[in-house]
Amino acid sequence: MKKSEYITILEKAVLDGNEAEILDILKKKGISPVGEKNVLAALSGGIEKARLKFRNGVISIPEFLLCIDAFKAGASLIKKGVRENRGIPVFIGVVEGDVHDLGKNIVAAVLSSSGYTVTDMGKNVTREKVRSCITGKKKAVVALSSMMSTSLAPMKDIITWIGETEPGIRIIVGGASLDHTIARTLGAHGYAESAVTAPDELKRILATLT
Amino acid sequence: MKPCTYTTQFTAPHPDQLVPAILVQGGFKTPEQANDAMRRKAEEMARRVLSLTAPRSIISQYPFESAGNGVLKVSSAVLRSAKLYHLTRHYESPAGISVFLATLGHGFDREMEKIMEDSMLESLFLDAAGSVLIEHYVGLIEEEVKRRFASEGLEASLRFSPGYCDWETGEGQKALFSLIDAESIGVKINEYGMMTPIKSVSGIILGAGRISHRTPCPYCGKQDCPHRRESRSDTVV
Repeated sequence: MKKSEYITILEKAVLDGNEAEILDILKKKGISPVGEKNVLAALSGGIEKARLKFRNGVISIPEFLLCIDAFKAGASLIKKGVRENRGIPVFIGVVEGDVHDLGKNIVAAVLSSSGYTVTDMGKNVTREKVRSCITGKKKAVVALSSMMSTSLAPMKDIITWIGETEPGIRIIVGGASLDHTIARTLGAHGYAESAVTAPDELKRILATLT
Repeated sequence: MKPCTYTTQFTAPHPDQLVPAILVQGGFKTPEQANDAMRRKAEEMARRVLSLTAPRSIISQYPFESAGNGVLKVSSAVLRSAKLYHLTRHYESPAGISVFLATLGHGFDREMEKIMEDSMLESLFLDAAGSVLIEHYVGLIEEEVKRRFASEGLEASLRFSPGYCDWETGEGQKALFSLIDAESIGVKINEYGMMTPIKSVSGIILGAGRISHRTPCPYCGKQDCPHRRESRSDTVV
């Protein structure tokens, strides 16, 4: 099988959400014929196609998540060092006060499969937690979510602190209690309306980093 | 109306009954949009949610005391919602308020933690299954409250929960938790009013001699509200 053919098949298997096929290909044919970086790029390529299909209303969120699961299965066979050194780090978490983390987990999975190095800060994230994650980082993204309006005050606190002390950090927010206007009022650089638009918004705000 | 506290027995639905709602809650526009594989996955999560949850509830009934200046007073608590207050002003002889709390228990939360590591699709459907199941239980509670009100010659409103309309989540939850023994069924709130276990629902149901509308929606100008509910059409506002 040619290298390009191998990559095309992998990409399609992700797009089809066919986890079994991905594992079959990677286990039978091995990763070495094309290299780990290329396998990861092919898996991410499948996710990007699925994301566009979802954004255009061709597939639904469960079908998109099936593709994410297929990606994760394939990526789990790639060495951690390769998987976790892909561009600017993203630290994602649910802000203090909120306990809903399914949305955050979906966004983390989408960003990770779109090629970002994602660190999950968990839920009930405080300013101290964010500080411990980003200290020493010249460039990074902090992604904060909140489903409830009760968490907007702690979110504002974290954003203000980052703005005052960490100029190289970009902040993106999302969740049911937010919209573009609230995000701007809080001082965030970007707002992700949904998991599927998060990579586009991240790309946009990273372009403002010099 | 005498104050009293009771529980509503949970009756488990057949897993198949949950599937259409799980598919829609999970993101399909209609259940028919899902293919067989998706339907099977939703069925699996319906069975799983029923196997791992231990639903419990507590309902405390109070006499209706007073309403004024945009608040309802219940025993020592103040429920601050101008829309609910406005609604009760249209009720004839408001007599009771039932405060309820229901939960699926900690088993659901533990399973969600585990499943998120393995599969995003399963975690989406399990979360949806949890939401559908707790709504099913709260539906049973609503029916029982309605029956109890009816036995005293009262009509019942629909249920209201903090976080909806103009009833602020944090303050509303704290007020409700001061009226019920939440710990007796293992539910806690944090300082922001968020409940754990995560699939827990609290709220109130009003009882009155004559209820013109069961929700404040007919009096509300927010026509695009996603939570707008059917009220009652046999009376004039």
